[in-house]
Amino acid sequence: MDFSFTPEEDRFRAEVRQFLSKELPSDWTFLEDEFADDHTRWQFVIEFKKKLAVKGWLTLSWPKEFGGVGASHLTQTIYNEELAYARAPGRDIFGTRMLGPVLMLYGTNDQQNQFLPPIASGEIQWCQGYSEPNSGSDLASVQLQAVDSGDHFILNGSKMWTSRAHVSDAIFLLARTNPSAPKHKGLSFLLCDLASSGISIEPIPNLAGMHYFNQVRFDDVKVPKGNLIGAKDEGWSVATALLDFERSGIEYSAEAAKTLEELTAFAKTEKRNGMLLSESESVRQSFASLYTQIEVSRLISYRIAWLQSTGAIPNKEASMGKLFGTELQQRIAVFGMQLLGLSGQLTSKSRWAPLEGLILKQYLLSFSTTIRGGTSEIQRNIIAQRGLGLPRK
Amino acid sequence: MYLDLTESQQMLRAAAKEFLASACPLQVVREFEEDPETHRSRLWDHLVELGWTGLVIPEQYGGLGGSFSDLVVLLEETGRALLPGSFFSNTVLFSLPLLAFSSPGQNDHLLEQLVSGEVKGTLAISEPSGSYHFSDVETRVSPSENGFMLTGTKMFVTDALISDYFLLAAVDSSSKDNPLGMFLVNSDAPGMEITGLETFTNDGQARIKLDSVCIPASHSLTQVSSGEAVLSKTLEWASVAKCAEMLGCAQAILELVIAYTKQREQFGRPIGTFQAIQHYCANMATDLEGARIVTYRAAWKISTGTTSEMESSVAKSWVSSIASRLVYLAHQSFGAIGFTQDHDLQLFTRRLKAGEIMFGDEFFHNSKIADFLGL
Repeated sequence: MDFSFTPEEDRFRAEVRQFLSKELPSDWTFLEDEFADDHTRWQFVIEFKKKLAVKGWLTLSWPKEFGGVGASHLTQTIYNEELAYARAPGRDIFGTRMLGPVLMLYGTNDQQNQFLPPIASGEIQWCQGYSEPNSGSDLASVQLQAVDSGDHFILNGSKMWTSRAHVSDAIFLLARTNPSAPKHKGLSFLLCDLASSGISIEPIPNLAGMHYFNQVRFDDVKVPKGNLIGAKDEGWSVATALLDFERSGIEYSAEAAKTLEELTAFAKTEKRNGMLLSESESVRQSFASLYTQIEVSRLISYRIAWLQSTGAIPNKEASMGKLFGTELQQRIAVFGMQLLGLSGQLTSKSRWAPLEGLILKQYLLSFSTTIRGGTSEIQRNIIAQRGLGLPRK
Repeated sequence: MYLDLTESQQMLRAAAKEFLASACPLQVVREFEEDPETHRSRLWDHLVELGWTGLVIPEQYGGLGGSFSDLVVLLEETGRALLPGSFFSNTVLFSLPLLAFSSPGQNDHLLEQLVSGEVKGTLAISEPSGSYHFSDVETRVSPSENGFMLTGTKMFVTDALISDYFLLAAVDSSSKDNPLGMFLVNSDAPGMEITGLETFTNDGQARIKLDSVCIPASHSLTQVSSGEAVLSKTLEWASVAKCAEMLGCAQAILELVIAYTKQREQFGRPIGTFQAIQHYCANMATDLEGARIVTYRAAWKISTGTTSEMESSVAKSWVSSIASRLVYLAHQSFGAIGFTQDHDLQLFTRRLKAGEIMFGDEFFHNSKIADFLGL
């Protein structure tokens, strides 16, 4: 085995790092969930994203024929690792990582020409319309209705937990086009302009008080037939295709590593009971254990990226990466709150909050990491059934 | 980056699997454990024939010149098969440090004898305190007529009763700079008293009492590096090598659980269809995925000769921490039958626990990691 990066990969990492230190304000402490919480901040995010687009980095992994760089999965992983470590905005998961590859695989030439360039340039913000009030882990049960009506579909129903819908321009979604077919067979994959008549978007503030999630209601919304991706009633295959986007989960360990470094600095200056926190053996043990887990998470991610670079489809490993990385983030958040003691209660608005209230934000947000993007239960099911061959019935 | 075994490593693994499946079924493991005296050297000649005793020794001594990563591949398989006997101690605890720290020409003949299997060696560092801290070494060394004289007590010396040589740590209290020395001691030297220890794997650990044991000056292994350097590197290699064994052992446990829960029926269906059992298995597999990648990363670091102490401690900390979790989940999946002596699971359970204890557990290595982190 060889765990080293090539000189080109190292150079690329240095370039990304340099770019981020130049372009990102030094006091940038915002987390993904609060990017869209404030108009000025979101404008900064969009502008930042456009700068990444100019570098070609937004579409680093896209094939050259679709205007991408055609970079390897490992290069893409390095990029995602550096952005996550810097907590930088601009990782366009919905547009570049999800919808883009779907269009490349299932879109017609016209659809590709129409929709791919604005994703690549960072002009159009997409959001994802999968979950509904009654469809969470059981995604194939979605009920949003799309009725065939000549040259368009008419949509009625609602999507829920739609991240950033309130600042997005368009939504890709799964809708039921054939209510009488078995649940996996009657879905279609549609693209919908959020400015369409009949759409209303309501905020769902999360427990950290941030506006990230929304409920998107559709009331007789018209979607042109040209916005159907793939065949009608075959949306399930489109949505669940084994798309070749980077899925190493490197951001979990990268974010965790950054937080652990900040906590280390805190522990080296804060005293409790007459000694530095960092001098307590129990504190040292916790730091070492979390450091070890971050290394485990990072190496699992590198292995996923490497497997992808060989053309393999690391389903089991990707589930392990998500499962382990998100549960690790929770453990770090809990440890961080322990370390901060009473001061852990202070929000980012308090001038006395240690680390600008970051740990509290991460703690409050940590409840969602093991739920969104496939719950830990779903990941464990995948590992056990697809990975280890345990029987479903 | 290349995160798979090389072609020659895959061949090594396949050959090891095949040999161990036929020569070392679990019945052999049980026989060793029940009567170590009779079986102690049972498989040795086969291992020599396969070239395993010379795997990491250069060709000039008759060995195969393999890397530390190659050794890790092999140890994963011996760990999976619970190979009993002194392969681990002889290779990892003796051959590796002897090779790395002998001065030119110092131990050429001994290295050849290790390859040919004529002699065996092991490491003697721990003492009644049961610790791996250098400062807990109390065995004394002092200059004697033609060399050194050693007095003290060593504990938990693996395979001491069948080893011809010990690589032994002792302190010279008169030396201010490098009080810790490492010495080659013959097992039949006058003044040595070796007594077997009753351990829960009956794996041939022993207590050695040294009463004014004299060795020649040429038997010091600190002519090139300091005693601390020899000992810390030896312990580091041992900890990563132990991770590899544990990895194989833990993988075997997971495979036992999967096979069992697929066929064991309760409430009219295989228990492997229950989400609770599936999630136990997913947890075990995820822990193991991490264990494998941190172990191979540490082995790669060691093989390339770069600074590796931190990575090695990360590996042993992680593999030790998952061992306890994994065996509890395995036993929970097996229910009552796994708790019996007749069932094979307990053979793996006890050895995985022993591995966790050897060469520093999670607590020991976390302490080292915290030091590295500047805490």
